[in-house]
Amino acid sequence: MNIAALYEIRRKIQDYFMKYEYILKPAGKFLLSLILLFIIKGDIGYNAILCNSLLLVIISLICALVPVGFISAIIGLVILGHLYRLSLESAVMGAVVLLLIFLLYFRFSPRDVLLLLLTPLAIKLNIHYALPVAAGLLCAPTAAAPVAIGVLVTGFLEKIAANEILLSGGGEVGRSTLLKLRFLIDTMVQNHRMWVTALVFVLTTIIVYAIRRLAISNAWLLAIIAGTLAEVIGLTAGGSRFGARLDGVALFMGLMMSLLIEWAIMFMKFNVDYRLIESVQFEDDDYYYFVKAVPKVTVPGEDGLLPAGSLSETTADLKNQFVKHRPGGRKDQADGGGKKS
Amino acid sequence: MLNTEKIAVMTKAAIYEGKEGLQDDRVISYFETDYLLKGLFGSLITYTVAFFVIFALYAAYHFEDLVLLLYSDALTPFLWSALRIYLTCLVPFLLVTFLIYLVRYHQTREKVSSYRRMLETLADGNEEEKA
Repeated sequence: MNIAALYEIRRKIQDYFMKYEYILKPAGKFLLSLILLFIIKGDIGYNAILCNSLLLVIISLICALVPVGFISAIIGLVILGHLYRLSLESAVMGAVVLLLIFLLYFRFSPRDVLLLLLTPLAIKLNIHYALPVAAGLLCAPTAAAPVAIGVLVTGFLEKIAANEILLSGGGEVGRSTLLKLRFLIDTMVQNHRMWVTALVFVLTTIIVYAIRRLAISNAWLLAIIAGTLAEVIGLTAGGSRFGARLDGVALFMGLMMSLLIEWAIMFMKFNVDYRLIESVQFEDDDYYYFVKAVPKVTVPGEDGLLPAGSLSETTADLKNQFVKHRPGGRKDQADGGGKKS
Repeated sequence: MLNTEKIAVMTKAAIYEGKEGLQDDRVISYFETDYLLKGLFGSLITYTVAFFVIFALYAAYHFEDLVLLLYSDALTPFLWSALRIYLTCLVPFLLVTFLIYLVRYHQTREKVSSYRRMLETLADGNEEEKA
């Protein structure tokens, strides 16, 4: 398969999404909610009512119609429902965790809460290493927060599932409310692998964001490479520092799959041809312009026409478009955009 | 005959109004200082509530020690330590809030300015057509 075929596939995918966005968005939310609810059912499905598949489908249908922020609230309530069935102390601890997330994160009206919902799914598929890099490529640095929170919540639920017998009343610790609460706090605070992963993901997002914003060639590719290296170094160093051993094979496989996903994101979102960079300089009455234009790689549509701003347009045409569309731009500058240096 | 440029500008303006216009209007209706103070005050309240929640967890974890503390001379130094920790963590949280709200306000102002320029372009186009 040659590169032109890939560009053609990309254009068709973009056209398809643009045409059917009104169906695909709610369908996507429905699928995501359904998968998350079944993951919760598989890990901490202690409440028989909330394990009913029909009820989960109905909840997912509701999630398809509400904003993404509400989906996280609904998922949070389902988690609390399961934890309450296990033990009151687990429900209290779960409520405290969710309350802290609400107080310290959600008050900023986050737009990247989708990352929070994708994290548990990504961890199950072992592709969670792609999330901080994707967040850095596509969002602002504040997107590091939902990724880290997703890691913490997933880690908390994993520990609950691993100690369900104790938390439901088994053993010496299980007989005392205070001891159970202490145990739960210890599982959160002393889960070094979880905290190291969250911290590494935050740093990775910031590094990727900083590099991809640089005005250099292949900034996105460099950002992906830097982000992946940061993850490897951070997780390995953090793991050896705190004695949290990592599965090398799982880490390698996860990073390889994540690199594939990150390359796909770059291909879909930011595909430019750095070989055809054009640098122009011109001035008007107010400013002197130094412009570097990097053409996007596009393929003709079904009508055979290239989209505006595509590879075939000359620098002069691009400048004319700039001057023409600038409010108050003078038409007499259309022959070249003013004086060239 | 259709004025395609006018249609393009009107479409962009309509898309902006439909998606972000209302929210941005609410933000820009504040003066910058008022918006920042509103954000900082909200953060102060939520941080204080979160601090008390975490303190309650700490109290549950060290329950017996705290009960003994109530009847000893170490209660006042303990409360001063708690206040120091509260203030030490409050400052960076408020700083982060300040930066987020500042960037948000400036970005919103840019978007609203761009929208107003679109409306001016449409108004100029209408005047040219009438002439």
